[in-house]
Amino acid sequence: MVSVLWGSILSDKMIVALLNYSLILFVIAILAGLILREGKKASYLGSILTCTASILLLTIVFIETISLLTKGMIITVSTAVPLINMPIRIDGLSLVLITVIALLGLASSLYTPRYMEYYEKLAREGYFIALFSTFIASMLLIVLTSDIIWFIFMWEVMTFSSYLLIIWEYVEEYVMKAGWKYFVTMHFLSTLPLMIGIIALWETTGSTSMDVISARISRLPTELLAILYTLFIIGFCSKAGVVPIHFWLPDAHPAAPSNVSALLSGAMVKVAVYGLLRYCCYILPVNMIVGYVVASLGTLSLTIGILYALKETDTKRLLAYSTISHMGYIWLGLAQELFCLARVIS
Amino acid sequence: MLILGITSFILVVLALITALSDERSKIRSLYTVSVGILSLLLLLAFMFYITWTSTTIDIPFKQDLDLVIACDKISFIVGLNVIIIGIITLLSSYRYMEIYGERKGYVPYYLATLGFIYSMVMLVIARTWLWFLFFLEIMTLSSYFLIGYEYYERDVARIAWNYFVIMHVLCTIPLIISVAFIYTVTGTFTFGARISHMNTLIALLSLLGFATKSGLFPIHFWLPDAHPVAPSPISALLSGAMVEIGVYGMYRVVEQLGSLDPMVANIIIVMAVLSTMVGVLSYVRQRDVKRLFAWSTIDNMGWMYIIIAFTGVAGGPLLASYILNHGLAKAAAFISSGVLLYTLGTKNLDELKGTYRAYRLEIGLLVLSMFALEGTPPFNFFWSKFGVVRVVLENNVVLGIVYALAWCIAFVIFLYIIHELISSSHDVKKTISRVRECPLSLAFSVAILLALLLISQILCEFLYRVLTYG
Repeated sequence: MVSVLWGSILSDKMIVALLNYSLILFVIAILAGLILREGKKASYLGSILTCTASILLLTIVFIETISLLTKGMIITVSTAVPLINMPIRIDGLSLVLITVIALLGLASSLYTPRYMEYYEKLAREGYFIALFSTFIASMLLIVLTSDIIWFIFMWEVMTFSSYLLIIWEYVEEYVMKAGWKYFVTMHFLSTLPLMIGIIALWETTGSTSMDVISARISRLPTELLAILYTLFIIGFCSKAGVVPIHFWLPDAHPAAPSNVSALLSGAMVKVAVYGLLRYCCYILPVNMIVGYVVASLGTLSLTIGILYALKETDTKRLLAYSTISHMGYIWLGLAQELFCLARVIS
Repeated sequence: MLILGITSFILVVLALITALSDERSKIRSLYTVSVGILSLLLLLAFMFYITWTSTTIDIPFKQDLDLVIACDKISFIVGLNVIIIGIITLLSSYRYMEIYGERKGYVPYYLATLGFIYSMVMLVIARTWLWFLFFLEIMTLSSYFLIGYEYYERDVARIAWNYFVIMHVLCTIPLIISVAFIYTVTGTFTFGARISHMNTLIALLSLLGFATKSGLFPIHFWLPDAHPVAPSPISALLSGAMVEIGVYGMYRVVEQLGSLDPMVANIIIVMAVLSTMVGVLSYVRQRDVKRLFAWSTIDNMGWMYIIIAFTGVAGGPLLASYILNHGLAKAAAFISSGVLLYTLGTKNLDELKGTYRAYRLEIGLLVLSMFALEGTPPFNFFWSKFGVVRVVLENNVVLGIVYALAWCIAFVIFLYIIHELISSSHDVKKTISRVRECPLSLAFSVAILLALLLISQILCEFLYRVLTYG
């Protein structure tokens, strides 16, 4: 009896159901925000919805952890988002990111209703909630999808919604400037290279599915691979705020409301790391030189970030520089992973 | 089917009769608008039915002059674009025409508008070149009346005159010659007959005609004048539907020719790239919102023609979805600038600086339409632009990067304009004041278009799947 119950809980059907429910809750939060538009009610209702959605996501993580402990492996789920047919796969890498996004989503949702009273004169709490849940949902779908075209689409949704959240306090001139810097940098140094890279992958391998591409990648010439590595490193480097494309981060992250800053510094830059890992390590074959490049960028970033932080007195800017510095550590760690894998394969 | 066809025909006639009345009368225009919208919905149902069942209707006239009506998937999506924008135009015209007060154009407004919309619907489903030209002429004539609607204003009559002359000399005449050639080669006016010789000549003449209609470089100079002077709902129809009919016509020519001569394809590529570049470069010095959007049409024409040049007939689905997405976004942009004209009485960007705080709804709609127009997700225009970049990159890497860069640069310029609207460093109250309240129907029109843009690509793909079995 108990084993049957466990079996039904530790199954991919359960996970798919939980995932669908949480996505539905995010959509309801968006719609409720757009309909209610203003007032504390919208704020509270939206936060309850996003909180519940995050808790459902954490339940997925919990189930996967139990599965890992009892069966020694996680449940890999392959499904598709209903209606839009967006292919989804949950594996170990995306599970880590789901944990980060769900925890931060939960924390910042709890924080939102009271904190937004600080922005009372701007009103529009409903729109804030709608954008806020779009932002979380888009990050979630980026790490879940197994299709490169949906990846770039959701990537853009994330950039756009985070831009709108950064310029939330639009009456302040410095906020608008930070938003401008952020969006222009993103468009030229993140979207453009990623788009060209993804189209090149699609064209040369003839598929949009990550699995098929990684199976067919060995056919590609080395020169093309080098270009693809470059494009992806530039694209993800600028989103992660790694030196030398870090200049937008100390302006943009503090300009946003604090609950958004938490998501920006805590989750969005990690989504960029996820992208780098997914593209340069999983889809494209691992490569020693890429490892060296990532390692040197990481080292540069962790040094420069922390040196800038020394002279900062503004709390939020200090934390933003700390983000840059920690991105350096993460990239260094990632580079070490790349080295090891490349060594093992060769 | 017969009942559907006859009912929609009766409603069309009824709408045209009621449209003869004076547009200054509230009740009469309400009646015309509702009959017009109903007739367009019925036409949509009719189009869907004949697409679904692959029916070809042949209305007999004298030999060779039969009106043949049929609809395939491409026609259906282009027609859907025309009908959606037509409905929105009628809906928004009802309140928007209050701007003109007691003044009147030299033809009944709704008659010209309905004639314009119906002729475009017929253009899309007609299957003989002679009738295609006939409806093209009705379209040109009614659009001329609408562009010259404010004939009492300085320059407007001249711009309308320019438009009409250019259309006749550079669009109608080449097309008539081209159709005459098609007739001499194939012996019939119907689409689909194999053209065995004179391919290059026919392609070149049609290109001249349709490029003029679409405002492709170097025959684009009339467009930034003509589109903004029309009443805003009509500008939406002009930029969102009429210029696309030119692209659609070119697509049909290429389809009939089978393949494009490499020389003609190269000419189209050069024209398209220059259009995009001219469009993007002109954004910077535009201070009039409607002129800005007119230049954006020229920019987007470059994106559409390059699909034809690189993929020929195979690019049909991408072209159709681009037409639908661009049409909806452009209509939203023009109608939201109409909202500004209606409520604030200005369309000058210098005067509108920093007005977002005071007029959130009006400027908010404009800003959202601008984002939609620049292909920012979640608006579905992104998919079409992405598809074009893919097609171009596949054929020519350098041009692909040029297109991707053009997209980014255009986006940044639009973003700069948006920042000017939102930014707080300007004193608002001094420059402009509210003339009228924003009516629900106008805000609703833009909202519908923006909501449709969230699902338009999914809708296109769905229609493609469903209509395959038809």
